[in-house]
Amino acid sequence: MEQQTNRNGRIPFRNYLKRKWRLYAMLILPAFVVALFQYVPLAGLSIAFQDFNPDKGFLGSDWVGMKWFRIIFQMPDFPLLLRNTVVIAVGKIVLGQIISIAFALLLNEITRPIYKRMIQTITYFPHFLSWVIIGGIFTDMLSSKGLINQFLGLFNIKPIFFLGSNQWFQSTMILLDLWKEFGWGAIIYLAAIININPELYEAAVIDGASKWKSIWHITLPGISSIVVMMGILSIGNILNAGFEQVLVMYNPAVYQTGDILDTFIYRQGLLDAQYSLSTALGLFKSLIALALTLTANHFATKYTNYRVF
Amino acid sequence: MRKKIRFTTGDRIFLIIDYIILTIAMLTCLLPMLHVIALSFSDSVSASTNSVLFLPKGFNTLAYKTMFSNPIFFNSFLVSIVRTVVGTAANMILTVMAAYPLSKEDSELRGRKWISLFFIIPMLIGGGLIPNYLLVKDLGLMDTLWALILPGCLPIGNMVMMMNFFRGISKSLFESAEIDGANDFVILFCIALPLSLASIATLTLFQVVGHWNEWFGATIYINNRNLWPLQTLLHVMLTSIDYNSFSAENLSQLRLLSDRSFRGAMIVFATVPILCIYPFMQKYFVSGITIGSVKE
Repeated sequence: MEQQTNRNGRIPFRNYLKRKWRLYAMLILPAFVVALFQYVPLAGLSIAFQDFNPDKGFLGSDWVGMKWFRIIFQMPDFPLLLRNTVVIAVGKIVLGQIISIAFALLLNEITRPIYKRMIQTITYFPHFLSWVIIGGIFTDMLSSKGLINQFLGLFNIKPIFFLGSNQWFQSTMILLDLWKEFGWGAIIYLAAIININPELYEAAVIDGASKWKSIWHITLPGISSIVVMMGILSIGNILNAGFEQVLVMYNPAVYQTGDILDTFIYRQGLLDAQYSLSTALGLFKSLIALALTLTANHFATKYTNYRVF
Repeated sequence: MRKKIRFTTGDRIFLIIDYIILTIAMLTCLLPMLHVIALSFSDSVSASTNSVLFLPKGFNTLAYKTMFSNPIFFNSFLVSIVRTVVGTAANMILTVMAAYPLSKEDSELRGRKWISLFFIIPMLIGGGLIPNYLLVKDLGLMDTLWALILPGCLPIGNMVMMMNFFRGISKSLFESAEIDGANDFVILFCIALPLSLASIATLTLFQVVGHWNEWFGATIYINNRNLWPLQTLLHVMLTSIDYNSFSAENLSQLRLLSDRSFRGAMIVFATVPILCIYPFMQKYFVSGITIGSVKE
């Protein structure tokens, strides 16, 4: 196609627009939606620096600088909230990865397709249930007379208050999240295992390697880059302890170990209408997450073949 | 294909342990569901004395009859369906509308870098709970289903996946269509979309599940319980069964019914739709995770 070009070798903008305006037209509505529902709330973060009063609005409220941040950092509960959040989140990330990898390795050795398929179908399913449903199932099962305590009773273990005692709440949150996600989390590793060259295994068998050895020396190194990538990327989630899960399952008796940043933000902000305090805490959390995510992406791009865009 | 290999004793032991571990893993996922189903079909004495395991005891359907005799459940079910259908449609239309232009090269969509930056930034940082809440309130969306549909109507993560998929389509197809005089609308509808039906199906199914399962939005945006999606209603009902919403006739039935059976029935009712689309989703599991996420 012969085209008129200007001295930069590009088609003049007007001719270009004549041909390509439709691309921009398609973007108008999505851009508007993003501007309204993403950038306006982003600007709304300014209420973290105000004494926000809903009657006066964003523009009329008094500016108070860093007041709310000072208050947050002096709150006696703040270190506790941070600790609960990080403990639950890190527990989920670390154990979740380990179990998913182990599950993928074990599943890969199953040679009967029907059995493999059945296991996958059943273990992926909890991923698709909401925390309301899972909360409903397990609040009953974990109660002092529920199925799990009945089972433990067979071994003469006294009933455990999984959801009502500070001793157990965090582990229960982590275990339930593992239960929900271990199967689904294994998919990415299974996909990586499939890409390993089968000749490596054949050679290993000829050399007399056992199953265990070929997993250790072929499969694991074969998926190591994806393991590293997933590990790096999960750093951004270090303050995400699972808002919906905790909100569904916690109660005032376990606030000491179960209250996380997100649930505190929710209670302060929406139940007690402490808009500014709550937004400031949310902003604190977002900024840390942003820094972590950017660092993680940087390293993931540098050391693995991960590309965001 | 792997050839038949004679297993050594060590390998055989390994496989036996492997099968045992995986069977236990499968049972931990399966048994809680069976327990809930069994509870929902059991009579009140068995349910309240903890004698129900994985099969119903004193089989009856009273829990379901009671639930369906209360119109609020069916109503919430409809609300969930409406919000899922409208929400998913909006999601997919906006996803495609944004993904197609952004999948173009810099030379075809001038300023693409800046435009994509505009779309990517919200993935990294958002306003959070309160600013979003105030926005929905100020827009007058409180107590409408729009509050559940509009704020998330462009799922940016999905948009990036779709964009990467469009990029994978051979450029020569687009170029030859352009030479034949097709404009970008025609190319999108006649070439790009038909070639990406599998990805669209994947994203649609995941979006459907997402909408069906979402419950938190309605707890903060909607006070009118006639507009609550099923999951929100369930969240409230599971924490405290609200007897005010039952008629006198219902209440007499409730006395014969264990709370646990009733909760079980609600859980089963909300899970059946997921179970229905689950077989369709299985086809797309792997592609759903890997569309555009890992590039060679």
